Amino acid sequence: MKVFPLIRRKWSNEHIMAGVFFVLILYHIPQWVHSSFEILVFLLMVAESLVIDSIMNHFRYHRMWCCVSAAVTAAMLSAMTYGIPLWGRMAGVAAALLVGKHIWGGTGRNLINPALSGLLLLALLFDMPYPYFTESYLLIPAAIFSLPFLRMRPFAGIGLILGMMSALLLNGDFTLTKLLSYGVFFWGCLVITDPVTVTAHPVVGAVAGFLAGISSLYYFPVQIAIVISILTVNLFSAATESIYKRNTRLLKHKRALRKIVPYPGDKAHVIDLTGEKGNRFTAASEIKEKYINAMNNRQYRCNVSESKRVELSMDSILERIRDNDVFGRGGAAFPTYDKIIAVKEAEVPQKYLIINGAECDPGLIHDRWLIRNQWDLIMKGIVLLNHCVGFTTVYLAVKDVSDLQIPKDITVHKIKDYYPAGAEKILITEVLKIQVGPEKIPADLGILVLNVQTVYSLYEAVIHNKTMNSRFLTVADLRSKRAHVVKVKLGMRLSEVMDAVFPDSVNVFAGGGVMQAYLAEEDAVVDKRVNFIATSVYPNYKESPQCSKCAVCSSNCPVCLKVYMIVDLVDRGLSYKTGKYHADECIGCGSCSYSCMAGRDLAAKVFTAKSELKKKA
Amino acid sequence: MRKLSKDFIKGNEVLFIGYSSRNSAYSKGIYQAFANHNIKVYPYNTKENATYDVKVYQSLTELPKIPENAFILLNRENTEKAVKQLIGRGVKRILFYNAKMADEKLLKECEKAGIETAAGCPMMIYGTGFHKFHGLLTGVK
Ligand code: SF4
Ligand code: SF4
Repeated sequence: MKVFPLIRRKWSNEHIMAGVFFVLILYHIPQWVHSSFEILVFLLMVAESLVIDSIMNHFRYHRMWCCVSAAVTAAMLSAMTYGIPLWGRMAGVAAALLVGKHIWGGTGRNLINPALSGLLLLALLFDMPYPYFTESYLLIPAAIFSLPFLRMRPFAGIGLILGMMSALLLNGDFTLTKLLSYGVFFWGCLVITDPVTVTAHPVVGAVAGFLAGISSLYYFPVQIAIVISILTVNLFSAATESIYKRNTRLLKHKRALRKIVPYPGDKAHVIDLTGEKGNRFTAASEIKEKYINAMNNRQYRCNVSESKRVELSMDSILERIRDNDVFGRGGAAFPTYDKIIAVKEAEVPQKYLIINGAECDPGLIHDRWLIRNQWDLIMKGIVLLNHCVGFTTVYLAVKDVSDLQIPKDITVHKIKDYYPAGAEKILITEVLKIQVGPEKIPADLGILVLNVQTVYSLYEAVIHNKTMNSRFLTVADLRSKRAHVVKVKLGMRLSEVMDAVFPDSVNVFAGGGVMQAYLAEEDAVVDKRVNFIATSVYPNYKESPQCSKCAVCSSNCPVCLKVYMIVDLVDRGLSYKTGKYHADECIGCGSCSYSCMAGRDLAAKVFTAKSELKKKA
Repeated sequence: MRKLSKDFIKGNEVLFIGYSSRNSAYSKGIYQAFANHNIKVYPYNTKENATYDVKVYQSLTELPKIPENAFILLNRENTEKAVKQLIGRGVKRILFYNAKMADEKLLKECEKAGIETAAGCPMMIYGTGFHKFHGLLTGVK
């Protein structure tokens, strides 16, 4: 079953490249003011690049892909080669694209910056302008608009800028016009920030960038020097990237995903489709009515210490948990009995219970609803758990603590709003500041993490001796951004649930949440892992083969995997080699697919790699 | 046979004959474009041992029901076979991927059976971006 996020970031490599192209046009302004013929030359160079790139892409992929990166290469060359004959510049573009890019296998596979390989050729054949640009204040807008692109490789970029600035200081040439004419921001923000050819490693990037900058302006003040320096950085980067098998970026994104469906707030009612009380398919606000007084009165009838007064013996509690099949409601569906026993048997001095109410997936609302409307029963579940294990501290981990009234002996931990803050090991790090390594399970450290609904169902299983064949979940219409908390029976058809809540929906998706959904077949049913049912448009993954090695996927990966390297191996049929990039540690959160700048469903490929590794093991 | 237009597909179900595993990206694109417009797609391909991302029906009897609309993405020879299978089974409209897929004789047979026909890539109506632009250029509205 293919699981993927139903949402995707809107930014793509093509947008970034279009931005770079726009800034490169600004670098041409002084040339164009001087000679309008240069506009024609620029257009010819760009047109040539588009033709070459489309032909090569057509051969390689048997279909058309966006060629804006080729236009960027041509625009870079055009900006740097003012005064060189047209035929030379055209030859430079051809060399850049063929030798600098396509010979390596196309976009994302080149070791060296294509524009620099073209420039190197031209620098060997012609006298290149030095400094690189004419001294003109007309370059100020270009320099300003270059700055945002530093973000792609900030360490290498800042290193190069500082290196060039230091050289200018040492030469006694540190003025605004010199900064502009030596293209400090051009090289530092647009060239050395090429993610394909420059390492994301902070230290290597910064040092290599600085050395390239200072050596090219202080020691070897000729144009070819900067070209050779950055090409050397490219080679260093390739070596660095092959050494580090994990994401080395300092900037790790903790992305707060915008809530897709609003919390229904006070008007919330649960729709009960279980038919347990004979009123099938009616909005059963009675569940809420029955228990809501806990919320209204702000009075809780028990606290953790009441575990001393639980009448059932520890063994009978555990028996009921096991026999009534209480399972994890957060998506993993792991048997709760096993988890409790593992923590109970752990030989550690301190034991912790973390009630997971993070609900970090932007499409879910039912845990929040449960905490605010069923707390009394959840609290009783906690008391039962405490009676069995005896926890040092009980935490409730939630994103939003407003309007929560929780007994004092439960520590409410407000977690940061990002995805996937609710993933078990990440949550433990957030709450307890303890790292649980890949080879360990939380129980080894005496930590029990249970989803809010798991504790609720544990209460029902123990006190009412009820087999766990129903659950609360979120049913959403992502087009209209509405959602309901719905109580369903396990085994109900997903289409039946959808018809009852949002009739006539065509695309029905289900799964752990918006970020981990799959297309529901006609006869698919609510199983233990279904937390979320939704109707939505398809997320439109364009599956571009042109990975820019921007490493955005890796920065968004909560376990710091080098996702693009794993996916590259999978694409080449070498999944069995992905172990060296720790593909087996993937938690399947879908963040990489959500964020991929090439619009690829990366998580599915990492999943393939993980399955292959499992088989091999 | 008319040119594809927005009002050709009526109701919200379509039988997609020729949903391919070989050209899966394209088939998937069409499937998703229909689905995003709230049209339920029944993918159909008689080929055995192929793997797909979605449930693909291998025979007409396997389908829960036969929709009134069918979209055919096959070569000329297979198109003829498919149309003959559909006649008399409740299909009221057939959309051919392009006009060359059906000859005059086949179209006449459809007409006799009360089946409306049209030609055009559904992406021009239900797709986005370049597909829509393509539709605009070819006058598909
Ligand atoms: S796979 Fe990763 S590195 Fe490649 S384009 Fe997507 S986000 Fe960027
Ligand atoms: S590689 Fe796995 S853990 Fe990392 S972002 Fe992708 S799905 Fe999440």
